[in-house]
Amino acid sequence: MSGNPSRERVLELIRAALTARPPQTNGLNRVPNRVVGLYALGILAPIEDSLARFCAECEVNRTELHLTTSENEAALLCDLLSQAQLALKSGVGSGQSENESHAYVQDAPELRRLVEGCKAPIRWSSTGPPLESDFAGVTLAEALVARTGSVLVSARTGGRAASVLPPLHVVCTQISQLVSDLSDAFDRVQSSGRVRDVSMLSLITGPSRTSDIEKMLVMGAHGPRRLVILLRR
Amino acid sequence: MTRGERSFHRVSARASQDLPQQQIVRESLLTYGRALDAGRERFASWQRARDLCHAIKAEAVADLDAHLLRFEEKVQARGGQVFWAGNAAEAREYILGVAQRAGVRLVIKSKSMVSEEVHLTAALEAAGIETLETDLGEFIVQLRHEPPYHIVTPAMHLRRQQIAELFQRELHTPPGAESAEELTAAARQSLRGKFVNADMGITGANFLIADEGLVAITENEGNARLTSSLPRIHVVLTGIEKILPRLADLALFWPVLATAATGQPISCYNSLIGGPRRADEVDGPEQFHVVLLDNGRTNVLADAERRDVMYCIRCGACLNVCPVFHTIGGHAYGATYQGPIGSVLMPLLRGMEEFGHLSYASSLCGACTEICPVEIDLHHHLIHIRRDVAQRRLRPAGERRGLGLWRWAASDARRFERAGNLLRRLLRYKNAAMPEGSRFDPLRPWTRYRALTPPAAESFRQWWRREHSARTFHASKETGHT
Repeated sequence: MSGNPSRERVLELIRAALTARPPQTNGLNRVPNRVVGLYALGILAPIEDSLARFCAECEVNRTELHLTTSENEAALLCDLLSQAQLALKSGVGSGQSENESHAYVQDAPELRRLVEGCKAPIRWSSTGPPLESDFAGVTLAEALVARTGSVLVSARTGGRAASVLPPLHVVCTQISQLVSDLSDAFDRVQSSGRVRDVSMLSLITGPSRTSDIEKMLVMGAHGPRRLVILLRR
Repeated sequence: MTRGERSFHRVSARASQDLPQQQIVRESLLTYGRALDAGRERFASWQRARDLCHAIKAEAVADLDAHLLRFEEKVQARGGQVFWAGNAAEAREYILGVAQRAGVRLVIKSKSMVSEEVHLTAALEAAGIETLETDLGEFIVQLRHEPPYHIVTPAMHLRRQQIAELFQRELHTPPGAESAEELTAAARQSLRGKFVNADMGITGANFLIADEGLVAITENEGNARLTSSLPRIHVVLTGIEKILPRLADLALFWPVLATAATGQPISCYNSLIGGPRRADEVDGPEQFHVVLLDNGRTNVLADAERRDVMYCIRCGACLNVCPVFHTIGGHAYGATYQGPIGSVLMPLLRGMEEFGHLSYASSLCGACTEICPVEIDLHHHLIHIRRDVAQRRLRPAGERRGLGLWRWAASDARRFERAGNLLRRLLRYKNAAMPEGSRFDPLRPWTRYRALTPPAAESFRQWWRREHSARTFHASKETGHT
């Protein structure tokens, strides 16, 4: 390729290098790395009750999980947003004027229906990317993973920054999105072709954190301080 | 002796006496150790997870060229650009070129050891482009103008109060702000504006996924996600060995990396990025570049005996369990990669002449090999590098002559005994003439800080002969034989 003379050189070096006798392996034959493979090899223990595991893991990783029904889901979401906005007004937030602060919501029919009656000011993802002053990001998800209590989002669920720039991230999900393992989640996005038509996917496990100072765990490093998952049964 | 080795001796001598410093590191590593134990318990079998990781990495590296080409094709299909850099200079020039063509004035970086390896920040700063680290630990050491102490925990060596003072001076935080929460909030506050205003974001990569053409980035803070979301250009700088054949492999590697690195079941953010923002997406960079760096890696690959060094996933576990790292700390190595993996990688990537001495910074206890999640035979590699260093006659002449003398003495039983007797006698008389630990003591490098065990009155052989003959005598009397 013109402009990158090293490309052919590096490839040649790699090919020449690989003709050397390969090192002895540990004798393990390649096994298809599907969940079955990880179970069969005794690497992971199977999960019996995905929902129970998901709840337990969220507790551990400090995700605020609410099991909802189609009746109370909208009210719960509106309450959450109003409280978050109130916290901002009383100065707990970033000190931005509350007039400029919005809940940034993924523009999807489902979420339009949910926030219909909310008092908190809403900015839709269809109007542009989120702002630093937004007090919450509300998105859908691609999948939920029981083993680690994680949520998989993508550039198609509200964009790249919606789930990491605002101090609060609320994810609206339903029980059919819950899979037991990461491999199942990968299967889903690969078989649906989703993985090829987004530029970014991210598996989120709890709110942003750091322990770079004396190994002390601090929540809310650069990303959200709170991660709330609404899971409709 | 090279300048690097002299500096290694100087810094490690100082660090091994600095007990308060070691205390900080030890406390931190105790926390890590507890989390690691709990983390490994979460696997039905941690050992089998390691076996499979090793097998998958072996598979990935055995077909490295094919996997890289597949990765490149997929990234290009999504509108990303892939640049192959043979060495550090090519990588720096390419990234600088991208920045200058786009009129970049502010660059934000998330943690990348490869960018340390090619000294990227210095190159960008020299061109007048402000470049900021955003990982909290990296941000702290950048403010202190020092290199990372540890590949995973860059500010492991600092007390909270030291960071508080640093922030008061550099970020003008109020004097009372000393809790980890307040300090983290101060860093967050100070970097927020930078994230929003930066023109270019630079990240590393933990894995490159060949079958889908994705870059996998693991982190806890969210800074890598912001770095790859907000600026209009995203550059990934990574080594060619980070490849994994399939997306599904991450179902194993993400939990294994998190467990080995911090003891977490999985890290907070595991992101997959395949290209620039698509037309139907609300945000994301306009340009996406992946720089694939060789910089000596193909030399390691060509060495079949050491190919498994290329399986490393940079989890830092071998540093955390290394008694030498505990004692001399991360800065003594004078290297991008510290600890056992650094002592193997640096000589192989940068040459035996410059870094061969690091292979001696090990007690060969094997704790590194035992912990390594991809089963790299680290302590044997260290021994083999020592062999190569010796064969190339890279050690100082005095040391070589001394060892030659030792070999001569030790290769004959009688010579060995006589030499031992002579040495014991010499040691007994030495202290009278040359007080232990004083400037005149030839053993000063050791005795300066430690007392020398006094030599035994007799050699083991003498003792054995005495004991053994006495025993035989008693035994033969008891059984009635003469």
